[in-house]
Amino acid sequence: MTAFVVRPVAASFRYQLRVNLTTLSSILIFLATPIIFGSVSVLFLNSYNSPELTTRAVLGSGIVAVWTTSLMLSNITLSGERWSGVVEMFLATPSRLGTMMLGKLLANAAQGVMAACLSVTVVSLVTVTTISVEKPLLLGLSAVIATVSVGALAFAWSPMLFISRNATSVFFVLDTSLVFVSAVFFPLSRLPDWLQPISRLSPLRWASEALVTSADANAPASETFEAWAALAILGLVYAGIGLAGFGLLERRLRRTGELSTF
Amino acid sequence: MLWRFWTLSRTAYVGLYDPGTPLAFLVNIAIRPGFTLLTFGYLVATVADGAVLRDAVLGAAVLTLNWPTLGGALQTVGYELGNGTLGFTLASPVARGRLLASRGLIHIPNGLLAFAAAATIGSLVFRLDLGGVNWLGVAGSVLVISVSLTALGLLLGIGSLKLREVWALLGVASVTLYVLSGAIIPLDTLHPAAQAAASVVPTRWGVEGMHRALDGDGIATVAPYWLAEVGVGAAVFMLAIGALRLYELDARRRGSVDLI
Repeated sequence: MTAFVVRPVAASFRYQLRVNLTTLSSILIFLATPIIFGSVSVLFLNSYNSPELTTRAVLGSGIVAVWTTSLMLSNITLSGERWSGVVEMFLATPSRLGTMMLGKLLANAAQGVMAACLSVTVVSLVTVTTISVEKPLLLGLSAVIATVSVGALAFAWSPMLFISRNATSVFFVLDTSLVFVSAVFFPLSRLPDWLQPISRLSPLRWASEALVTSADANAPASETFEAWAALAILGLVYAGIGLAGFGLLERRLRRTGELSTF
Repeated sequence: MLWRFWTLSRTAYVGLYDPGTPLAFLVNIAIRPGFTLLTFGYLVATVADGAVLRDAVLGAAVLTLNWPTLGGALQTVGYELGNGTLGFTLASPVARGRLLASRGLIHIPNGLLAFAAAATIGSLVFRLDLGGVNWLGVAGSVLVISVSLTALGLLLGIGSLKLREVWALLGVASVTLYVLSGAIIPLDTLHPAAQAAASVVPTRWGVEGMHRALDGDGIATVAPYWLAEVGVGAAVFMLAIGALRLYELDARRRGSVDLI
């Protein structure tokens, strides 16, 4: 277990995080989307005196930063592995492809945390807004659980990058569509009725609930715990989907003996 | 000469920018801008309706131009370095204005398509009241915005040659446009210094013209805003030509096109 799961995950996590940290642009290029969503939302809301929506917008920019960075950095990382011929070497090692990719994608999610901190800071500075955090410990825990769950969702989609040439386009759609479907920047009740059940499958929706209720002194802790439970369940499900996807892919690659699966 | 210019434009678009697969094109032109617009639209609809919602939704539709026009032109120029064609480009005798214009030409209709897609989605989803709108005024405003954003993309493209950074520049420019264009956020709610800075930002005057046209004002009222937008776009384009010439001089002096 330690040799074949923990060590490969830890090693690929360390390696990927070092690679990410050596390239400044790997964090900067994904910041535009969360900063735009956050800043425009807060500045627009300035005229409408809506502190709840403003808090949601500032924290939402952090959630979007984690999501965009996890998803798009995974796109760059795995597409890069695919096209530079490193995947063949991964297959030659005794560890499972999925465990090594899990380490890399966790590193990308960790990079997302840095992006989230930067995004929230920039949005707060640009809009000259401060939000009061009444329960900092709860907010910190919410941020950790949300990051893992959102990262798991990016991981679930990642096997597609080894299969389809159109995966990058799909990732670009996922990037913005999920921000909308999850109602990160507006109340869930505004979403069309038929979209609301779909949004329950998105960790971004629960991440938003967890962070907003953690920051609000008047929100009951039970709402935060409900969001944590949803994030934990969805995180496990999506991580399982990702591991199963990489497992299927690995078996197919070994059976056919070639990486040209498309 | 027109044929040569068209060949230059088409070659740059296909060879340097590479629009990708039909799915990738659709994602860039319609799907991604559509979801961005829906997010802003639902946020605005939470607190406002009527003319405010209409102006913000169509303002957000205008800002979807930024990705295909500014981003497209920036990438087309910026990829010259990575693709190894910059040396040939600098050695070519083509006038620099024409050369740069050719790098931006085909991104302009792409921007118009993005606006049409986003505006259609926004109008239908939010059931905007578009009675009494001066459509010619809206179309003219969107066209001049598309041209000036393309000019900004060309200028930033030259910057990306020096900085070796395409995406971060696109990100910074996008944030600036979203905040200072007045398309979604009313400019009078911003700090006076930000309002002053906005006056030289491409899109600002075109957006003002579009908002007037949405209120039903005639061409005589809207035209001065078009002129202001064209003026800003022309100034940015001249800056791009100047920047390219400086880059070229430096490259010849150093004997390398890679000036990082």
